Amino acid sequence: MPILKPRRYNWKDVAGISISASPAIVISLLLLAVVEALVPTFAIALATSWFVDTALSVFAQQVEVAAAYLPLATLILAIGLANTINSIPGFLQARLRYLLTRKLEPELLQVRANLAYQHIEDSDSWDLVERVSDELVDKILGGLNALIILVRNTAAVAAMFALLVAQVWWAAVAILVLCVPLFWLAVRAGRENYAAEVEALKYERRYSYYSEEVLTTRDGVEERTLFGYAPEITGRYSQAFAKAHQVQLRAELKTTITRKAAGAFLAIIGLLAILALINPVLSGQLSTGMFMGIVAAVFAVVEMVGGTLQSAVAKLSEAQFFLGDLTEFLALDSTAGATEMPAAQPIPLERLTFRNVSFQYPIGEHNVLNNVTFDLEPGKHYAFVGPNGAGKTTIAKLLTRLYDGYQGEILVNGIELRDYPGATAKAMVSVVHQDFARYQVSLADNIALGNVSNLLSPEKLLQVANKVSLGDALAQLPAGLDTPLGKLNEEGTDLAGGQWQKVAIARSFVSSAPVVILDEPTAALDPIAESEVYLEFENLMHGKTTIMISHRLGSTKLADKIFVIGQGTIVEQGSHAELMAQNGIYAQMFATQSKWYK
Amino acid sequence: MSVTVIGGESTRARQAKEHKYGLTHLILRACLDYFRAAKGWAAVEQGVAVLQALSWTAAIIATQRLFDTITIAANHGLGFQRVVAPLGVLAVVVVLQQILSGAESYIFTYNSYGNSGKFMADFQRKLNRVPAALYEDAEFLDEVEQSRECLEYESLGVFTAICLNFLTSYAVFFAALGVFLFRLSPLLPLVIIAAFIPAALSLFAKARVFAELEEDNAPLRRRYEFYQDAIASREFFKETRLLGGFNYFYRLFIQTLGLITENRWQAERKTFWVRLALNVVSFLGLGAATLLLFQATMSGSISVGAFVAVFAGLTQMFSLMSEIVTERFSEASEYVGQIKQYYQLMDMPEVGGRHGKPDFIHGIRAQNVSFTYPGAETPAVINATLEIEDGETVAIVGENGAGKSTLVRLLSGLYQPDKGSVMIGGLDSADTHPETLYRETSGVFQKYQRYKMTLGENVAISNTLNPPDAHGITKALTDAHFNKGGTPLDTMLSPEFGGIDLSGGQWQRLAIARGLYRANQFIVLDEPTAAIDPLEEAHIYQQFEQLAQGKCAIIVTHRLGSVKLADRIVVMDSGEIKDIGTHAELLSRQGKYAQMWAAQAAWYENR
Repeated sequence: MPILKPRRYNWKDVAGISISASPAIVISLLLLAVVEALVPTFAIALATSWFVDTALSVFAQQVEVAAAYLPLATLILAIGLANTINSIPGFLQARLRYLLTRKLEPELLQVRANLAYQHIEDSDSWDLVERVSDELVDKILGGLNALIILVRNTAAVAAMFALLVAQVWWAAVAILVLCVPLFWLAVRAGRENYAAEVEALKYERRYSYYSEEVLTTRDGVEERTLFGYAPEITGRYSQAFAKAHQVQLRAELKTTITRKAAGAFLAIIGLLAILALINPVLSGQLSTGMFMGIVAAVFAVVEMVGGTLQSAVAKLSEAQFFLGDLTEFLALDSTAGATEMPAAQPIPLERLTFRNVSFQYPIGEHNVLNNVTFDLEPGKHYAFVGPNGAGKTTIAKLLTRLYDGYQGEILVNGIELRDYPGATAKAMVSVVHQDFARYQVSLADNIALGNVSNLLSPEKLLQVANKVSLGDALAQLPAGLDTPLGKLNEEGTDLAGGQWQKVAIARSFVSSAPVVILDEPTAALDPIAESEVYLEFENLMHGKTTIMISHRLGSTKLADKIFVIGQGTIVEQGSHAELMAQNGIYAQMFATQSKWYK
Repeated sequence: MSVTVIGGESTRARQAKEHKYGLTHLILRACLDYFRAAKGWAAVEQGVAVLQALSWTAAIIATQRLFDTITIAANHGLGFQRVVAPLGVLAVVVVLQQILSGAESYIFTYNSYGNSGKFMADFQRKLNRVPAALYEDAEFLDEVEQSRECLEYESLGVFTAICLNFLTSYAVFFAALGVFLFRLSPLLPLVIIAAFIPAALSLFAKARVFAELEEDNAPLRRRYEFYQDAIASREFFKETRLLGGFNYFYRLFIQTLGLITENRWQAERKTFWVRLALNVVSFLGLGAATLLLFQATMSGSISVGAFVAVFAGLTQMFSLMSEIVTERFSEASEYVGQIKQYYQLMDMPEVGGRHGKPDFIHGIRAQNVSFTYPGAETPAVINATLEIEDGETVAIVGENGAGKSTLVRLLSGLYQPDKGSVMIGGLDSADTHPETLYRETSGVFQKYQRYKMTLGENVAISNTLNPPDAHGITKALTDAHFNKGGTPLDTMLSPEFGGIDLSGGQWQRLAIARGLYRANQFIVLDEPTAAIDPLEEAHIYQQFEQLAQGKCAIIVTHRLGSVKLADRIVVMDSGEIKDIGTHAELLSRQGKYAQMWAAQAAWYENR
């Protein structure tokens, strides 16, 4: 049973979520909190009173010294109990963290893996996803801890009330009444504290950006060193930092003052109650021992409640805000079947048709594709060319069902693409992305990921690696195909950009998908490797329908048909020879590029 | 760049210097830095801490007075006013305690938080002065990451505060209370100290457990994060989804999650027993101390009121002690490793050297240059010799991994060669100060940066010595064909910071504009047009040709068509320079270049 479900969450759910991980621990924590509150107040007060009164009787020679042994032992034991108990909650919380992490983190990852792709590209929802993922367990445990502190404080105040009410009832009632504004003050200050944190966050993000993404990264080292901007950017870092510092400190000052004022206020109420106890002692209504016991208890309560009330409220406000984020996060659209594996046996392609397809990104303002219509036949090679931003990559995103909010029809074998089950649709297309993935796992697994539904033999993988001319790189890998790639492991070996791209190409070669989309597949390859890929192309892609997206026109000559895309529509189409003869946009582009090679 | 093997053996032989980073050294250094950064406020903080410690003892004495008075009052019928007086004193002490503890906590936040910013700025400056080649070393990058966290989460500040607090707060409190207790019963302070010796010893066990945990979990955590990213990060999301790779990475994710949480739990369990044992020991100490007090009370040497007040004080003292040992000290000991790492980084040798002025009459001269990346086994550039005359444009071509980018970094002075020498404008790159060395050099790199700053800042960042010049910025943007001409220069280029995003091609043009904006006599272009479409690319190369006029220029590119604009072409293979010549010369030699040229040009013959 998953814990995370799309519904409204509020601060009470810090307990609810924790309980679903382990009811026993949460209940134990609450019980311990009550015990932790009662021992230093109630128990110590009674033990002290018993001991002192007995000791005074010893002095008055009413009883033997031996009569004081039992009260003394009780007093020591009470303290011992208080000391031993306080190490248990930390231990239980560690266990709860263990359980929550193991339960929530996998659930969270599953939710993320199923998100609709638009939420990944949209920076607002992506921010939300990152915020929630980074802090889920911490915020819930923090909130639970705050809740427990509130329970403990309530129990401590109740204990004080119980001790006093028997002696001077009005002082006890006064304490309870005066606790109301104290609580209100704590709530206000806690919220204010949180608001300041949110305000400072603006500057914090700025200075963290300088320090994490500009001044200390590997990728930026060339520009940073050559342009020598580090002193200037460090200066800006310090400025943004000073601003955040200022905002946080202003809030800190305010909350410290209210916190300590509340502590002092509580202490004074306690002392006033003690003041009221003096006369009963003088008149013999209250024993000296009880007086001392109550004084000790009052100070214990002041120490326990004074400082922690406010920070507990601040933590709960934080948790409340976070759970709002969680509610929003769990309400994001998901894609059915997103985590499924592709079907092991893809359906053969008979015809792929775009009929009057128009598309606008969910956050976009105008159509990226406008009434696009074309027809692809099985086994043929197609090229889509055109300037950056013309809509070439969008066609790939629609074919891979990353977006399905298009108008018009995309028909595979005459059936609308959206009507196929996820696994079947996934098995139809493989893509070599422009920003291909560099999986930090073994070379063998990197390639085998191209066809997860079928088991590939090591021989087959080796053959593919050689086919995409990864042979040289392979020879340098210490453990051959099983070498972990990247710098994740100490034994790992990183590949150069071009080699990674060949790995990505290899993935699509092992795929059994009938349609292959190559989105600028050779951008990082050197001329010889690029040419090799093109020459092997016919051989490697034999029988497959390919869609090459490129702005390097040399490669498009391989295509049986070329579509020239401009501003979301197809402006020219035909074979290389036909388009050259038309002497239109394509011919002009080709002329510009080939000029370099004359 | 060649295949770089990052091996476990690639230690930087630091063990020899280990003693330099002993605990006392770290504590002293951290405290000095703390005072240096926080100035007078550090002294105020410690002063308040001392007063606070004294107020704790004062509270015990005031309580004792109150109890003594009330005992006498109950027995001998003193007046109400006589009892109110000690109660009033106690009230004053308690309120004072709240004020002091408030002041202490505020000043601590002020200092520690403020210091973390100052230390971070120092750290950033330091990282800018270490050799650039270090950034190719995974071990170094890990250390940078850890040190940054050490500053960001204020580990250093908290560590120092704990060390200082130990002296000014705890030690003062124990001393003051010790004197008070000694007067009651001379054995008392001794019993208390003895009770804490085993507790302090058990602390080391805890510190070791957590150090081991960190060692085990750090590499696991990196893998854990990667598997998560492979499924759900922006970078991998669409490819993993389409491949159906979820199950594969999810299995790895669950495995690592299991290991990490289990390791952590084991450590928690071990330390729980340590802590419990410690509590029992301190409880025994408290019991013994109470018995001593009891004896003193029964023998009449102290009053019952004193017994209760001191008993409460002892309880406070023991809970403080166990707080110091189980929380503060173990927190501090968890940080020691990070802090050591931080100081080791801060002590790394810097790039420095003479100042002067490069004169490109002397061109650029590389003599028998070799270079191996830190941690790599094979050199990336071997014995390269190359001279670039004043005003000459040189192109470097070769296959992936042939060492082109490394050679460019050597020629521009970003890297210092292991063997041989590089003279840039007559200055030796090995002993010239970076400010001098790069003064006349600009560049556009393969890994150009997308700064989340305004459009204007994105350009002007290449020259921060002079105030930004709007005219120059606009000109650079126009020259680079940045065709969002209407975009105001103060547009923020980052949705994260409330601005807009650019396409890949636009970002690349922006990087070119950045390179052009920096005044230079030597420009490096390392695959400057990979993400730009061909029509634009042609324009930009023509522009380059004009811009490189009369300057030293190096172009690295895969598009052989574009190298024809170079005066000479350098052909690299496996880290070595195989051939140098003009386009025509190289074609006629029928070597590697001719082979590459034929391979690429064939695609552009009109069938």
